[in-house]
Amino acid sequence: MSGQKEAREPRSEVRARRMALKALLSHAVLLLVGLFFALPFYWLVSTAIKEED
Amino acid sequence: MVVFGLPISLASALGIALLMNQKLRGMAFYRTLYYLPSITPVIATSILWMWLLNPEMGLVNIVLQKVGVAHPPAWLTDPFWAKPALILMGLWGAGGSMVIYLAALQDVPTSLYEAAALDGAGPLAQFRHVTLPMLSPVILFNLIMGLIGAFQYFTQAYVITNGGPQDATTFYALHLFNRAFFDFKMGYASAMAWALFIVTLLCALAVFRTSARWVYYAGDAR
Repeated sequence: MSGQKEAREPRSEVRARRMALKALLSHAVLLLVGLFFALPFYWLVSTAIKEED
Repeated sequence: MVVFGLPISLASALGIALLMNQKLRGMAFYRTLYYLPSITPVIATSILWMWLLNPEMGLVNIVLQKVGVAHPPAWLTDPFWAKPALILMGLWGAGGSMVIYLAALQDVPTSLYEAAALDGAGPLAQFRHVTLPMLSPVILFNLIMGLIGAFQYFTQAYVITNGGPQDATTFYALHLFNRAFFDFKMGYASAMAWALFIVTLLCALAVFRTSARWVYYAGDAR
């Protein structure tokens, strides 16, 4: 019984690591695409508050 | 705009919706970020992009130069790049279609994916045989609305380029406006408006005709 449990744990660890990697990759893609949407807004606001000279 | 801009816009909105349809932390932030441009007024967006695409001091060319593009395009002052620039600008407002796709994606029953997985379908096969058919009514809706919008493309071209450079962005609606309110040829402009209406109607009808072959309505006994 306990032997079965020990055998199961590494598999769940690998699965958890794979899920974490997938989430990290998804965040990276979302942030990269998000730059296309966010940068124009950032530029709009930062330019608006710059001094004239 | 209809031939290139519309398919690119539909595909990118679907791609973003697929990205958004994940169970990840901070998804509300991403959804807000991606949707924000589509609620910004068109005139403000147009003026913003006019500055962003400025060949000398625009952010787009500054970024391109920083990543190694020695001679970035002149965008709105180059007849070849003016239309791609307007398409790029249109992609920034893809959030509206993205929300519609996302609502449809969240409506797809998970049991269909489970059944497909049991049958040995991988992620690509699941997308091709489950997601796309279930999204097809929404794709049809976005296609028809996009088609009508693309045929009537006016504001951005009027504000940013006013038809230039070398008439590269003189879209049909802008040409119609110029004939009516600069040349005061109201009869000619009215005829143009009727022609636009008929062409748009014919294209929409053609899409509806073909839709029987590729749009799937769940529960429809056809």
